[in-house]
Amino acid sequence: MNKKNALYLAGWILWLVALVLAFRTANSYVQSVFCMLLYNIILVLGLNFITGLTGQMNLGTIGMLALGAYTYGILTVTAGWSPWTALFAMVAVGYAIGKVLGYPSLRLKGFYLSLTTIGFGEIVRLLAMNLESLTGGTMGFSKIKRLEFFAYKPENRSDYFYIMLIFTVLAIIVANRIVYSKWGRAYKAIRDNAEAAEASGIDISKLKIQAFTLAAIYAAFGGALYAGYNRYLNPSGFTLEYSQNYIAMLMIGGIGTVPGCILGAIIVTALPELLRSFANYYWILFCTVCIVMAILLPEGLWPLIHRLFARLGKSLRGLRGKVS
Amino acid sequence: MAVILKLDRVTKQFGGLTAVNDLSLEVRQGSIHALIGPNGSGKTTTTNLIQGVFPVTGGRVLFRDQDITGKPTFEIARQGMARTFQNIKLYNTMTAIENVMVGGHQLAPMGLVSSLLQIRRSRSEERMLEEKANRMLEYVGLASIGGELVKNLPYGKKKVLEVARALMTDPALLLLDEPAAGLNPSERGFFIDLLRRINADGKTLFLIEHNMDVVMNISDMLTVINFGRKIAEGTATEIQNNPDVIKAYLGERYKVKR
Ligand SMILES: Nc1ncnc2c1ncn2[C@@H]1O[C@H](COP(=O)(O)OP(=O)(O)O)[C@@H](O)[C@H]1O
Ligand SMILES: [Mg+2]
Repeated sequence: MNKKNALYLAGWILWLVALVLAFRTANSYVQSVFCMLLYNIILVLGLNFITGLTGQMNLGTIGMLALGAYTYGILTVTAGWSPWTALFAMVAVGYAIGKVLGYPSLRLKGFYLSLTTIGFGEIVRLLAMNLESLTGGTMGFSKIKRLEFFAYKPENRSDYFYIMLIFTVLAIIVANRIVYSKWGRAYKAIRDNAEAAEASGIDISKLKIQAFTLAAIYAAFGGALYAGYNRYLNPSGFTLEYSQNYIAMLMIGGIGTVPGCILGAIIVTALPELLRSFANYYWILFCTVCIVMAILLPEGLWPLIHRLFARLGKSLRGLRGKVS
Repeated sequence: MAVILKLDRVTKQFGGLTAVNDLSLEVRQGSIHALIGPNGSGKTTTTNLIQGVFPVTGGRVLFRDQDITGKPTFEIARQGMARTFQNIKLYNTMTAIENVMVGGHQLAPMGLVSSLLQIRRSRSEERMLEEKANRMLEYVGLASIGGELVKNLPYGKKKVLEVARALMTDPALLLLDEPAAGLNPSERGFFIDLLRRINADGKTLFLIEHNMDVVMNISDMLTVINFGRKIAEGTATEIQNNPDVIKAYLGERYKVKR
């Protein structure tokens, strides 16, 4: 392993340790925000594949999450599957969503694709509301089973943090391997110049569907984890504004990069809690922040921070050189 | 010599406008074949038809003895046809070497799932792509700028980088749409050398170019079109003395004095 990779690994481990320590010392309300942060990270990492890298607008994230969550609930409660089997069924759920939503994205662009994905999210929500015998309708769906990890049996929501953390780390590792590989490059090539990508022999249609599928699998997993964490689902929790939130995370943190996505998830998850005292004015503040960011830092915060780190590292090395 | 590309009575209409009209031509394997004509005469459209960017209205395109009419662009590219664009089309958010590496995407066979699971194999595949991309950059004389973001490169370097990306796909035929346009004389000289080198290394070039120094210097064969129709075909000397070509395109000063 070279020096740079070792440094990155150290950074990741430091971040994880800090996260766990902060979680352990927090009160139960703040702990619930931490749990929310974890599945938000998974979702925004998924969205990054299709919207961040491939450049296809997706405002249906919450629909993907809801489908995963309800499927997990129905499989574990109604069908009596074990939570682990139900969790791995999320690959199939994501695959199906990816195909269904991926195809329109081949024909529709920009505004029209946004509308289609909004429509998808709304359809899922309306189905959840109206298929009462399956989903419990507006009464909600409850008593969803949780994952157990060998002897580790999570008793309450906070215990579930550690199980979700394992999957978050896994999601980060997989995202890293995809983003910084030939796949990440090919997705970005489609975003930057589809015509040139195709002329280089890249099958754009296939890769767009693939990126949609990745996003959907991530969202379905996030949904299943959310269902196990909350043990209760209600259609009123799956509205469009959540999909918008994920886009905001992507924009604020830094489109395309893994640390940027995580940073965005942290900011957008924490901001409402920090600005709670503003009550209804919160949205005005939040939207203003988003607009200002979009104008001043269209690439998001992470590239800025990355440059700062790089400069810091350089001057530190320079200092060390002088001392020795 | 064998024919690598053949256009058989190709026609393209955009609504009422006939951009390419009943055009037939043959490009011989290993040659440098130029397509020239006034602005708007249908040269870029012809390139787009060859690579399947949009469907032909009539006629057939054959590449390496296979009918490629109506095939999607990426499949035609995989059969060994690469191109550069009249208006530079690079991936602006990426570095120069990443741009070239994207050209090699289809040469790296691992699928998404296997490249996730087989860490060592996918690393060596990545290394292979990187090494090859570096060789391509070196070949076109851009070895020193691999790490730079494309959007920060000067125009002339971008033009050359497009060639490197195209070469990365291991093409048998390279379509070049006005590669020397906008270059200064020294850059142009370099470009002519580069094209000669690529050709000497066994690749067939199909070249659209306005600059007569470039065209007359390096082409083995020229096809001249006007309003989408072929008006002449031949070697540089033949074309320079063809009265129709002089009238429609070249003007009197290009006539070779005897
Ligand atoms: N996509 C298109 N849709 C409609 N008309 C087009 C399109 N592409 C080219 N044309 C028209 O076809 C004609 C030939 O254009 P083009 O092939 O770009 O010429 P050249 O490359 O020789 O300058 C022009 O009149 C142009 O306006
Ligand atoms: Mg043109």
